Amino acid sequence: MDQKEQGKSNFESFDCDQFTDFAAKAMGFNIKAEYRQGVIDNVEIAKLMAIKVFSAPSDANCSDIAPTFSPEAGDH
Amino acid sequence: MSKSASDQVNQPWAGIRDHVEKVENGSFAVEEVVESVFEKIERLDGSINAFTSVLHERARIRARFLDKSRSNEDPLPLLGVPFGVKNLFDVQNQVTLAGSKINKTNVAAVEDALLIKRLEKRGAILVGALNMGEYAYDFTGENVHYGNCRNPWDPTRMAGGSSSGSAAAVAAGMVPVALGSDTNGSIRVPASLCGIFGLKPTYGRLPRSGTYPFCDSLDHVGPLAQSCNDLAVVYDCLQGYDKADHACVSRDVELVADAATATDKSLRIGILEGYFANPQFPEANKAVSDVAEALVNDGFSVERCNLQFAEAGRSAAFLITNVEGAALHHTRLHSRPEDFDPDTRDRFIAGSLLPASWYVKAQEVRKLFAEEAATLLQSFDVLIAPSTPIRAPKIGQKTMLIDHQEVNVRANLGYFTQPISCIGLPSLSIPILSRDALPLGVQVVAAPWSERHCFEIGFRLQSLGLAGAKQI
Repeated sequence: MDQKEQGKSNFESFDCDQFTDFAAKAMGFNIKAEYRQGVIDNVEIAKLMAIKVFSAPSDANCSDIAPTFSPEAGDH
Repeated sequence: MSKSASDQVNQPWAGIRDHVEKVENGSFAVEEVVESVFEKIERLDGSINAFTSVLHERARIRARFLDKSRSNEDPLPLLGVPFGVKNLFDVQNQVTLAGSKINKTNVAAVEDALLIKRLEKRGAILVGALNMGEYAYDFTGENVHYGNCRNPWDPTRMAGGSSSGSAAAVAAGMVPVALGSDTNGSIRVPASLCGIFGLKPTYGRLPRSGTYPFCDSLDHVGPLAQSCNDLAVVYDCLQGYDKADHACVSRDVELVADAATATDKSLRIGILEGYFANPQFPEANKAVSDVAEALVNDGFSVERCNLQFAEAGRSAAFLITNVEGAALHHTRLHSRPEDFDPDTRDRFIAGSLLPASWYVKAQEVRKLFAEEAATLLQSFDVLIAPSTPIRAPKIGQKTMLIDHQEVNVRANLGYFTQPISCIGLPSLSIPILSRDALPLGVQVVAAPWSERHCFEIGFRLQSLGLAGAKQI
């Protein structure tokens, strides 16, 4: 399985409804019934974004992230 | 105001340089300019809703001061130029709303944001604060607390956001220039939908001091204007380091206004394909191909190119924004969830819950994408891409089609802008003229700190008659 497929398959078991209810409770959010679905819909969108992000290649032994972006001067 | 002065002041806007010349030679007083602006706002803003406050007293005092103190020996480049600011900029003695109901009970700002000070030091006059999407988390211009900002071209349509009032006020001619902020496209999206010029400079170029934050590692501020010339003059006045913004980089001011007369055709131009040429957005693709054709005919070297990690980069920006923005509002989301715009609240709460590994991976991808873009920008001086996938949607429209799937409009109007701000590149949104259709913009993107290249192409397209803001 290539990295892209692996990225997708890791999300197959990610259930947005269950995750939202569990994480909201753990984080102390009292999500009311009238907007619970709105939050779940947004977790679903974030999941789709995460699938794309995890499909990009990465070095499994590198933790060099860019926590704050700092632009470099171009050679112009 | 006398009839003749009123007639002069109310002529169609001919640009900052013309305006300043007329004020300097006494054709009209700054006080008359200010009264003319107030009259326009009174007449037009009822149907557009671009302003959340009009600063009558402050602007009149400032105008009187400028009329008394102006000196021909030391001319000010923005003398008597009225402007507005998105209401996330601090304005002395005003509450910084940031489009929210929650901030309304905050104490008033004790001083102006630095960029307001810089413009007023050059002779400009702040006339009001402008509507925006709540906490800048919006591409539509809709706001449940202060009313939707409407597109001056068709008030049943979105102005775009989140700098909705900034773009709409400029497009309607209520002010010639305005300031906005752009985290994922919030200057370029409304500039595109309202048919004006908007600049998101390099991340770290303009200080954000005195503005309400959204997502620190992605927040930019910048100007919007009716012409490339006005945008350049204002941008030049805004530049300069400020240590109060940790992201601001100490660099020399790099002026761009003189790029209007540049005749150099050696710029290497790349037309972005792949992600940026999605066949589901034919009008956006047509705007880009019109630009490419005009530049080829004008003698520029134009080639097709690709950023293969653009979609991943856009997704990374989405997750980073969601998580960082939610972290900023964590306490308020717990204590006052009902006081948020429901659409904003639901997005922020979702962002509060996301796994940390998604955020870390998004940052890795951001770095990967930045490296890819840096490599491509060794072969090209500017890259061309659409600003928005579609023209202004109807207010209230919830979904649009991408890759044959119905997706949320609020999240996806920034489809083309989001990858670019993710990696901090300067991007100028240029309105492409079309006879009968609503406006649509094209982005000119360059390497970090190369805003001048964006302006060179902007000026060229404007002089070729392909780009420009139509008078409504």
